[in-house]
Amino acid sequence: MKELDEATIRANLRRRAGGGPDPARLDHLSLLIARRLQQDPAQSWSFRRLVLAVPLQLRVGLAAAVVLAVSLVAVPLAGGPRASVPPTTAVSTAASTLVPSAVQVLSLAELQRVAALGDREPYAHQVVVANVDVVPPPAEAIPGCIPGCPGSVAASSPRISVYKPAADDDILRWTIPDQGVAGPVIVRIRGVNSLELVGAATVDPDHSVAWSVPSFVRAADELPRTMELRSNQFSVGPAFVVDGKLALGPGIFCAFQTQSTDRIAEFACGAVGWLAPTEVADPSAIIDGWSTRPADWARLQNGSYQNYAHGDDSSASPSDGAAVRGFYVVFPVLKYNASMCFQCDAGAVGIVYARLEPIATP
Amino acid sequence: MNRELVEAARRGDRDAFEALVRGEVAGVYRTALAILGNAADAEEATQDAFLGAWRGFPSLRDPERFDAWLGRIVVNACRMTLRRRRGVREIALDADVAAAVVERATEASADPAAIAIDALTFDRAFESLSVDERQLLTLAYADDRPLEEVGRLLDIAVGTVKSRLSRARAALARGLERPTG
Repeated sequence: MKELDEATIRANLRRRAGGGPDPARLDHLSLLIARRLQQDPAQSWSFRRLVLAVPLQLRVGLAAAVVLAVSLVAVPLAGGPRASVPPTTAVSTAASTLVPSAVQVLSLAELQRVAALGDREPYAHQVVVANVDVVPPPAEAIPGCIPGCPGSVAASSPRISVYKPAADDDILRWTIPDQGVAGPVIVRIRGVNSLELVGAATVDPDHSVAWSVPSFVRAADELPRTMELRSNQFSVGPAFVVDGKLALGPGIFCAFQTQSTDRIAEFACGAVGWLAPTEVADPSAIIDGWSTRPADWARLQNGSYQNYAHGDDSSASPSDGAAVRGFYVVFPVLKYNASMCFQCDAGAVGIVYARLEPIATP
Repeated sequence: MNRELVEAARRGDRDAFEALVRGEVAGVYRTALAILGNAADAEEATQDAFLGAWRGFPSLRDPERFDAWLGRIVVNACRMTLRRRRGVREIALDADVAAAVVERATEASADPAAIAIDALTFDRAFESLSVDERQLLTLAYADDRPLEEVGRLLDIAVGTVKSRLSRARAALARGLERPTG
């Protein structure tokens, strides 16, 4: 084991902490906090104080009554895609407070049943969201099985193996870190009790898996980019499930386009894809007439409409290039070479990885 | 800690809370920066921590324990920040950039030799630790606080501080042994 004296630890930690605090930065930070406090609704503070003043037993009783009331209203209306449900079994740390939405989020029990049929239709190769954690393989197994040693779904029985995606491209370079991956996670079913990890699903501040397009655009804008040290390095952020309309833009024709396998080439010449907010009635009409792109839309890789808008349901396939609403798995692009990314000037840039289709749970 | 400000903020006095922020922001930011390793994340975690503190003030039972309470909120904010950025792919440093980092570190250090040797390796190893371990090492070494004070801030006994420090250092040493790449 390397020698690690206190002086080395101290010096390195002080380096990380940036030496003495910069007064201007701290003033700015205090100002930002004050602004956020002003925007914070005062009633939330009062409400919380009020809630905390209520005895615990009464709070538990009230919560149970609210849950019961919501269930009585929601259950008869259930249909189509299933609502998100928190796991009913003891799953280590997967988010247990997900807000129900129209995105289908499988519980551990549901994932177990689906994964057991993972080699047959309609489950094989499906991309699903599950509210489970993924744990790495046991430490003692690592030396013998790198690369490709599978992790597993926490608390699964029988064990559901979780592999690194076979398609190891610019987007999917997941490995399972030592601390595991906290749910909800996005996985592709690859066989019986066998999954590929697409990534952890980013949960929005309201504990919902599904992001609206404008909220996705804002979140992508706020993702840290400081780890990128090369200004033109193409890189992506975490996976988001975005509720939006996938629309086809006019093709960008380049007379002397050079072939490239670089991801950024997908944002140059070709059939541009757009993800528009669901409130936009006819995105195509706007695209055809715009002078500048709306800032709350996301620019997607070329060909995304052709590859993902149709999904597996042929009855939903548009024949006229009309925008298609759906839940799309999108990776925000954080850094790119701007000169190669056409119409990326405002709003977010993203790569669609999959369209989520609701599946019947056995 | 200014007990009067804490009491006033607890009653919902926003001005008092903002005064409290101004007094504590340096320490919170410094801790977050050491834990997270970059300024943007540290600023975000610092803001989230104070906002969380404001919202959670009614749950602070004992104002005397404000420091420990705030410390836990800071650690949670750092944890959330790490969780949000976990999918961001890190680009390996190339040789030039690595050299620049080491050079910058060397300039800032009181003990250049100690840092220049292991700046990048140290960061990788440190970032493999849990947020709690990072906080403990930061309080004890970066801030040079006596163990008694660390124990008070973390609400644990001095003996526990010692044993956890020992484990954290061992974990850090193990992290240094792991192959990079």
